Amino acid sequence: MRDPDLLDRLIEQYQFRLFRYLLYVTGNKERAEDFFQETWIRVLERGHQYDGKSKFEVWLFAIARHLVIDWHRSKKPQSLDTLTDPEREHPLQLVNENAVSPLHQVLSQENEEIVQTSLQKIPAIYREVLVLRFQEELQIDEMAGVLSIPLSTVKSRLYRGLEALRGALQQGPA
Amino acid sequence: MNHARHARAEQLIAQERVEGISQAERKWLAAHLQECAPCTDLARQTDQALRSMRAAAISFPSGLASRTQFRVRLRAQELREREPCARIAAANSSDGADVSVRHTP
Repeated sequence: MRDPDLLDRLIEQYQFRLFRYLLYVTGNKERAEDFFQETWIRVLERGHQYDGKSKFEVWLFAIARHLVIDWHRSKKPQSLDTLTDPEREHPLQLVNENAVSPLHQVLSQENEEIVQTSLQKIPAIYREVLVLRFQEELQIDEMAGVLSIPLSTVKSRLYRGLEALRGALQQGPA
Repeated sequence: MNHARHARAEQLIAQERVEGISQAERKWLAAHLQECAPCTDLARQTDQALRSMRAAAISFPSGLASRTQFRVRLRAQELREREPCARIAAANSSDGADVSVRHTP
């Protein structure tokens, strides 16, 4: 993993997924960018530790998560569920730039706003499992590996996260 | 329609999406949804919530990937440059250990 050409290709291949994960976890675009870069530096330095037994993205997300947690612990002792303090952090910055036409943009704008606002209402600890399961489509055992928690905890977070997402969307952006 | 049936349906709706359910459970749930409007609404809302979340696009910062690639290359170069020094230091240290062992009476 010391081969810069290989890393270039991996960065291109996983850039969007890693950034999305970091954005969901931190709730802050600038911080997600910093962690994005630090994660790849760590991949370079610790690539020899990847044993190939799990999917690369599982290992990659675990590295990214540890960096976020280490940073957070160095800042103040609190857990990931308080990582995003709505009073202090920028909200999740999800925008619909992939819309292909202005018409589509107008039609979907309202829904996008509702989703963005709703996601901001969900604690980071649940946003994290939701993105890993329903966007990254990781298996529950893979998630347990990324999060270093038991399967039962992954499941309970998923159920609570799903309920929170549904509740937040039903409430709307108000 | 008792409360227990709704509660089971509600649990299976979530479970189906989170970890999957058995064929028998799916059959039971389908039959229940056919005759229960509130549970059908719940299933629809759950799917809608997940669809909305999946559809939320994220703007990837322009230049982030190339900036990262540049930093990684720099760091790789640093590590390559340090490696010979580290090897020499390690070799010296092991020589030293050997010497001390040899000189131990």
